[in-house]
Amino acid sequence: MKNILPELRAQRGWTQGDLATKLAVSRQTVNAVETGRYEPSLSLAFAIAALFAQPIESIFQWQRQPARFAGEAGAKPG
Amino acid sequence: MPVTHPPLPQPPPVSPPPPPAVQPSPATPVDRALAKVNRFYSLPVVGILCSLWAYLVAVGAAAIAPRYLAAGGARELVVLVVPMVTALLVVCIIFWVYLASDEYVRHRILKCAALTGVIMAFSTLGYFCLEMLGYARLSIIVVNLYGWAVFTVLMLWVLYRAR
Repeated sequence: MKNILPELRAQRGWTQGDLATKLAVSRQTVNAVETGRYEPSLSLAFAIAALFAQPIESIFQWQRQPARFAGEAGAKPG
Repeated sequence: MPVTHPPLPQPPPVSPPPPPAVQPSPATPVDRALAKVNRFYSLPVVGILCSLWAYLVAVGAAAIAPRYLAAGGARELVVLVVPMVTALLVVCIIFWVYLASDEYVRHRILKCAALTGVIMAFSTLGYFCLEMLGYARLSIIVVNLYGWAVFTVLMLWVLYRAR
């Protein structure tokens, strides 16, 4: 999942520490989210979207991953 | 008739710029080194280290208690109860650190626990093979202390990176 968090942060002149303080998380968390090493939880994604006053889907671009197992590809709901 | 010009607008008085905020920077290399040490020894790190120290002392006391204490309530207390209570203290403090952490640090702590399990599995399997080759049999307390040591090192590394 890609995100534009570094760009949004740079527009406001915030450091990773500033953003971490505003989101009440550690700077390590912001760094991991920005570099794509960690995908944030739904609540953290909502908090980021509210902080930047943008919808979640404009900050995080989700890309469908190919199914890892054969069972997932042919799975039918219900 | 003399022409009078209106007075030119005067620029607003410029107040002197505020003095730059003085960043408290340690003066000497010793102070800088102490500042680094203080950054590392945060409350969770101190809690984990102190509880682990208490656990190691309790295990050591339990190991030597049968030599110095006669059979009875005091010996059973030192050998059975105190190590269990201190082990529970370590678990409680690590759980408190887990609850007080944000989601990414929690994720890293869980990875530490999983990695400790993998390291322990391979270590015990490797030593089992060495025992088959004639190495001395180890007490299970050695495995216990080794596991705690591995987990503590991994956990302290996570807390150090998340400081």
